[in-house]
Amino acid sequence: MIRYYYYHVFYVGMINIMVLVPFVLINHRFGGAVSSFPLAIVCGTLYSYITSACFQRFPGLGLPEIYRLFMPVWIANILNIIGVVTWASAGIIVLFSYSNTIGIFFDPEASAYLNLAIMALASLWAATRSSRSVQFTHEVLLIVCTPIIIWILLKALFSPWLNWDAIRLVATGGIRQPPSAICFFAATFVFSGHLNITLFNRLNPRDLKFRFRWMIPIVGTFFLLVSFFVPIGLHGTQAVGDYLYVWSVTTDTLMMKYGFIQRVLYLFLLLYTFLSLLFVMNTWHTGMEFFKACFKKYPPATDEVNVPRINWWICLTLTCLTFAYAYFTNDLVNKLAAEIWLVMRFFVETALVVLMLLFVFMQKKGLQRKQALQRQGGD
Amino acid sequence: MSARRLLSCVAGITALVIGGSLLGGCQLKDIDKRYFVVTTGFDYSDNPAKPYRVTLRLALPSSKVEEGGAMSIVQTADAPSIAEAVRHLKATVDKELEFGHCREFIFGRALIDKDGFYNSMQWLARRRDIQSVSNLMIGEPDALSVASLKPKSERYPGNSLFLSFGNEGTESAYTVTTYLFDLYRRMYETGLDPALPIASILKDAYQIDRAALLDKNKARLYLTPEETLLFNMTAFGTNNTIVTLPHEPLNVVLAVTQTNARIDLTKGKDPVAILKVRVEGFLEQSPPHLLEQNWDGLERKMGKHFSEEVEQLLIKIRDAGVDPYGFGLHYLADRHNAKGSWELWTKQLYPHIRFDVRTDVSIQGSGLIR
Repeated sequence: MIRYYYYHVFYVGMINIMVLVPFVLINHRFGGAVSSFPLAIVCGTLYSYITSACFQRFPGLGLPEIYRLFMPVWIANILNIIGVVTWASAGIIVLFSYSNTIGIFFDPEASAYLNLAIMALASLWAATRSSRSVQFTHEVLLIVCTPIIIWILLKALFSPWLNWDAIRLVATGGIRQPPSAICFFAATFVFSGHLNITLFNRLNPRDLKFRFRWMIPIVGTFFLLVSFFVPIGLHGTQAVGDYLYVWSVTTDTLMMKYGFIQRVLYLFLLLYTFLSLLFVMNTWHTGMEFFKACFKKYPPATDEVNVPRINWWICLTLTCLTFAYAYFTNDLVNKLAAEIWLVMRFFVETALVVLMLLFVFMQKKGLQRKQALQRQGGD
Repeated sequence: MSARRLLSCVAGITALVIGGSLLGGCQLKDIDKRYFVVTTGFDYSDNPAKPYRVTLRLALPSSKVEEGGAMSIVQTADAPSIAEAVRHLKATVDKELEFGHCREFIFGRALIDKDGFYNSMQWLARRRDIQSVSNLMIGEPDALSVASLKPKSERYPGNSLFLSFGNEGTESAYTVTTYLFDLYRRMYETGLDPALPIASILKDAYQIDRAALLDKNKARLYLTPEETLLFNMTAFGTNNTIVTLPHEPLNVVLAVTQTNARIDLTKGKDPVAILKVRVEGFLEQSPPHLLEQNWDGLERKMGKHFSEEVEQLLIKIRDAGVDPYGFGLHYLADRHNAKGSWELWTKQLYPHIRFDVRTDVSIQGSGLIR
């Protein structure tokens, strides 16, 4: 069962390309990007350890149920809504970035809304499923994507055109700069896969042990360094700043001479179609469940065969919001929105860690509100 | 599943299919309504109002693939800029132009000398359908004549030119390969300058055996074929090359199978640029029994001769004021990109830098088979 936890850690490490993390970091490559990496690695690892340790004390309970244990309903609902906004907006930003990338590289002549519509419908359907289905879909898609994505990353890393002097220049020059806050926020994103435990802890059994947690810093650091340094090595220290979708351009510098299609870019975009779908599915599903948790009418359920109708309405609203967002924004605004979201996410993450520590403390002191509400573990 | 649910499902799917076909139908063009551009040339036309001359070689699809069966047409237009010229060219053809398969871009020699490649690159880097791994070259005497050549050996239009580059077809040590992303990187990079191969026509074939070294816009130095070979080996580590040693009565020629080249700088206030080259191979031509007499001595002699030749080339490149090896970038990386180090490098250090070429030749065998 523990593997489901690490699936989240892995795919959030890989999806960072779609929420423009490399773009934000590369913009500050001569500023404090590199020096904020060690801080981000320490901070991200620490947060992952704390949340997993805390949630272990509440087996089978999602974050909304834990709120209810210790807090009055109105505070719990406010916190739930903050969760809804954080998660759902992430899905919207990724969906927009993704459909834009596809519009640029796959099919420049098609309407931007067509790509968005196809993807949004798929996400809509996937996100409305029960939590258990979402988890299984997650596993299947990730197992399909991960080996090939790692292969592309390694192919880029070992490309003969990679200029190590450029990487060395940025690394040794940047580490001497004072760390920058926005880069720190952006870099911690790579480690924030642990956040998804807030909902999916509902599925965790009572006796779950969080083993192999030493993998988190290793995997996160790998994805962070690769997604920052490889574009610099392939595009040079100066020209790399000219690209918004920097990784799409980076994979275009690779060739599969004997492949079915020569441009690695198309394979890469196909894989990131899966990953984006995964991300939007997870975020919208989490947002949806948080929203439902505000009402007594919808008790937490993980294995419904027929999902309640409210699921469709919530996700349909999110789809409409995505279209509204796509209508009113462009690449520049999306860039800004992504940066704002990255910062907001960090503060939400910090608040969550503090709250969880508080809850564990209160549990030890026996300060729970309603003992009756505590239900049995996930399965 | 209740009847109502089923009905809503069917309605939803129908709406999706109808909507999808409405959205999709008007935007995708069939493949038989497209012209595949296979080679693009940029020239400088001596007309100040319309300085850019764009040449497109368009493939005519044919049902059979055979040598000499490749058919294509060439179209040319003059305009104030490349983008305008391409738009104008659309008015002269009956199908939509498609650049997705164009991997050869030729800058005319006059364009490089008079206008430079900077303006052309602004168009190339923005076209999303152009591959980053396209080959760029300088055309001599101009891009039009190189793009118009239709070699008899082509299986399909345009493949002769791109097989010449990289290691896809022939692996020639004289052919420098520069990709679009590499030129774009070198165009902006501090301390790393571009190099472009020069393609000309020899009878019914392309001759790509020279290179031009450029600053951020224009050509500074044209290399001879012999210099191009040395440059290609030491700057790009090209394999399958040769190392020669003049000898009486017959030159000794080493067929190199493996080349490694690495640059370095000595520490201190007055650095020396070090170029470490390691070549491995077997003798392809040699007077009899030369290797057996003194194996180590021959290796050392060849290495020394090679080092001297490369050092001459490096000094020539340095005096032209360009840095295609990336010594400047290496220096900045060594100095951790400290303030003022770039000015110090370009103004004082690089123009007077000394070179130390260390070649390690390793002869695997005499090449004799009996």
